[in-house]
Order: sequence, then C-alpha cells, then structure tokens
Amino acid sequence: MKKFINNINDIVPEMLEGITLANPATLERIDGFNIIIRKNKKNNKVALISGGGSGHEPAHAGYVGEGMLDAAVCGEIFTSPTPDQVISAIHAVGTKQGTLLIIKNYTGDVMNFEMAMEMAQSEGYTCDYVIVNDDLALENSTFTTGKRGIAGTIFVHKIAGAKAETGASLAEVKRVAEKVIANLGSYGISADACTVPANGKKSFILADNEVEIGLGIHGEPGVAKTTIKPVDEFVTDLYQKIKDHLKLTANDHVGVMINGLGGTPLMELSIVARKTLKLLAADQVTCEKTFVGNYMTALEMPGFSISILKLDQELTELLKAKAVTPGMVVV
Amino acid sequence: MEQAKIWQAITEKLIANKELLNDLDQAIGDGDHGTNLIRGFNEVIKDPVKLNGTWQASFNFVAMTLMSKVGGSSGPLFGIFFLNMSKAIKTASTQQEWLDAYLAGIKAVKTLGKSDVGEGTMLDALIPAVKILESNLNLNNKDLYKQMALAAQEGAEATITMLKTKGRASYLKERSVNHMDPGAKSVSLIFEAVSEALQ
Repeated sequence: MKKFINNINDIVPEMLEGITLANPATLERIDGFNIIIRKNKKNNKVALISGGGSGHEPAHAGYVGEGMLDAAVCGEIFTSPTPDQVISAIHAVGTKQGTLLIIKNYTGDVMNFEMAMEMAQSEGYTCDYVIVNDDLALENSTFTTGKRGIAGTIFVHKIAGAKAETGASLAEVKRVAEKVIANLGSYGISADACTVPANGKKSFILADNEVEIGLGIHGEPGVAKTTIKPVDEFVTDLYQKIKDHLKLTANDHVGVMINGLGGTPLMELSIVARKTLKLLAADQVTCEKTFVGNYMTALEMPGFSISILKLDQELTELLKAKAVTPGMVVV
Repeated sequence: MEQAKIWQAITEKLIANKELLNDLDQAIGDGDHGTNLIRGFNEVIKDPVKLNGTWQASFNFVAMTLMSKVGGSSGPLFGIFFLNMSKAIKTASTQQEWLDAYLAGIKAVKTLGKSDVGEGTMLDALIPAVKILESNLNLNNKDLYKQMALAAQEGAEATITMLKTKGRASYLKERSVNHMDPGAKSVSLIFEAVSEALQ
C-alpha cells in the first residue's frame, strides 16, 4: 500500500485538523472527538447533523457550513462513528428548535445514530432522523438490508439545510428531507477497487477489461461485473434505471449530480455529464441544477455515480438557495 | 481465574488473527473487522481493575468500552451482547445463570441486528455454542468451553455456504456465498481463547 499518510491510526484526526486549519473562518473541531462543527452557528434554527465513516471526502465534514450541515461526525475509515461521538455533536450544535440526523442506510450507521438519538432524547434534546437510501442497484432486492445511502445524500444535506436556514420547524425540515429521499435515485460503477488503509490491500480484483456496476461507497464489489465499453453506453444504462425508478416523463424538472468516487478525472466526469444531460434533454426533462465533481467518494476508486432528484417548485427553490461550504458552493 | 486474564486472552487471540479477520471482511465487506474489534478490546484490557470486579461489572465495562471505541455495526452488536449479559449475570455462580446471561445477550443481538440464525452473522457461531451449554449444564468449565469453542467454529464454517442477508455483506447478494462471515469467526475465536485460558 502506498499512501501519503503519517500513521494509519492518525488519519482521521489529522485529516480533520487539516480541514479546520484550511477553513479557519467557518469550521472548528470539538477537542477529543472526530467532529467538525459550523463556526458562528445560528441558534434559532433546526440543527442538522450527518456523518458516517471517513474516506468519503468531501463528505461529510466538507458540507458543514452556511445552508447545509451544522455538524459532521466522522468515524474511522468506512466505519460509522460511535454513539458517544454522535451525542457530543448533538450537545455541540443542538438547538431549542431541535436536531435532525441525516443517516445513510448502513446497519452500523443506523444503529449508532439511533442509539445516540435515544440517549440524547432521554437527556431532553428534541431529535429526529431520516434515513437516505438512494442506491437503485439494490432496489427490489429481497435479501439485503435495504438500499444503501450514497451520493444522493448530498441533495438531502443541501435541501434540508436550505429549509433549516429559513427557520422552519423540525417537522418541516424532516418533511422536505423525506420528500428528497422519495424522489431520488442513484447508480454507481467503478473500473477498479480502492485500498482501505486498515487492510492495506485492494478491496477486489478486476481484469483489465472489467468493471463493477451497482456498487456503493465502501470499496465493496457491485451487484455485477461486466466488460468495459464506451461510457455513453454505461450512462444510457444507468440513466434508464434511474428514469424508470423516478418515472420521469416530459416536462419533469430535475437536479443532477455526477459524482466521482475519488479516482476519476473531471475529464471523464464531464463526459458522463454530457451524455446524462443529453439524455434528459431528449426526454424533454428540464435540468435545474447540475453538480459535477467529487462529492461522496470511496477513497481512490476510479468510478462514478449518477444521482437524479425529481424536483417540484419547493425543492427547486431550496436546491438553488445559497450554500457556502468547503465541499459545495451554491450562490 | 481473574477475569482480566480472560479478557487479555481474548484480546491476544483477536490480535493474532487480525489479518485473517480483515481478509474475511475484505471479501464481503470493507476489510477492517479485525482492526475495529481489536481497537475496542485493546481499550478494554487497559484497565484490569475495572475488569476484576464482579462479572456483572466486568461485562458492563467491556460493553460500554466496545460501544464507544469500535464503531460500525460490530461495536453496537458486541456491545449490546455484553451489556445484556451484564444485566442477567448477577452472582455468576451457576451454569444456569451463565446460560440465562448468554440467552439475554443473544436476544439483544437478534433485536438490534433484526437478524436470526442462517443469515450469515455472528449469531451463527454464538447460538450453536450456547446450545452446548444449554444441554450440558453439569459439565465442568474446562470441557464445556472446549465443546462450545468447537461448536462456534463449526457455526462460523457453516456461514461459508450461506447467502448473507444482513449488514454490508448483503449488498453482494449471491456473491456473498463461499465466504465465511468475519463476525461469526471472531465469536469463534473468542470462545477458543476462553477455552484455552481455562485449560
């Protein structure tokens, strides 16, 4: 394993230190916990907390700031944070208006965040949560723990964040977050694995002409392996799956995220964006906002995911509302 | 025997098998099961005084430490197992009480993980081991834990052919078959360590 690190045990705290040192005006850390919070936080709004394993940068710490999250709780690499970490985040940013936890659908994340929420509630905090499950690769699967939460989660951070910024109640913020989740679909693909530092080996082996389709963000293989082909053909396949799930028809409006998994050049992501937007245009679907870049990565995986969010008037306005964070700027 | 020695033996056994546990997890998860569990147990053995009180206090301390250090799904699942053993163990003086404690732990894991035997999880090693205790309440600890360790190992082996339907392994669907569940293997290693410490 070759990585630009000092010591495997220090990766997460040193990374978080780097993030706060690089963003001194907007972010700060909580001593002793792997938590990044918004500096100058607003106390008259619902607090938004998300998090999960590290290794998905800029998720989740990168989305702390104006118009998005109030705190990110960062676990070890690809490992959900523990309940005491999540509680500390609630203590740090929770307000009288309440706290909404945005959880990706993984067994560990759900268990640790739910435990923390119950403990915080018993301390008198008002808390609620939503679970993001946008990964269509696992749709209709009867023997999984449900669909994973992947890059589409950033749409939930963005839109719930914008709603919270308006001073809306916890119930209202949760309602829009759930509306996003219900109108969201993602699908991922990768040409190679990543190396989790704790293990030091590639997470799977592919032949030179093979790709994994339908994978998540933890270096695990996908639901199927296939032969490499021109990217337009992959995009057409993935787009069709998402289009079917969202039942997209002419005159619909959407937001699009072409997300790199950490090892894909912007050149390739732009080619993916080109085809996705052409397919939407051909179907007479209006794209209100497109994000192209690394938003929810899986260390250095050379892959991408396409996420599409079906929008109504309310979601469109919230998606376009101002957000200023290290990982996403919308003005 | 001092309890701290048992926890020390468990920790050493897991450390000796770190790469195996990580490799098992690599095949169907993200490859850090050994690293994560060992991070928790290394914290556990730092405080022998807390470990050498009553079994009730010992299990409680282990549970809280694992829950706050391991993360992922192993932290809460192993944590809730020992936490519920702690609540049920009381005097720890009879095999019946140990059986009740194990059963309380298993029940909590089933509830939290929304899982049961046959889904390729830690329960597939844990439940067969505890069944040995259930039907051998009068056996001495030395022979009992030898048999329990064997049953746990067989249970872990049995997860190889199972379709994993819980946790991250489930995302691989049919491709999860032909791999041993790392959680089941760590349970079997824990019983093996206890058995060896008692010999």
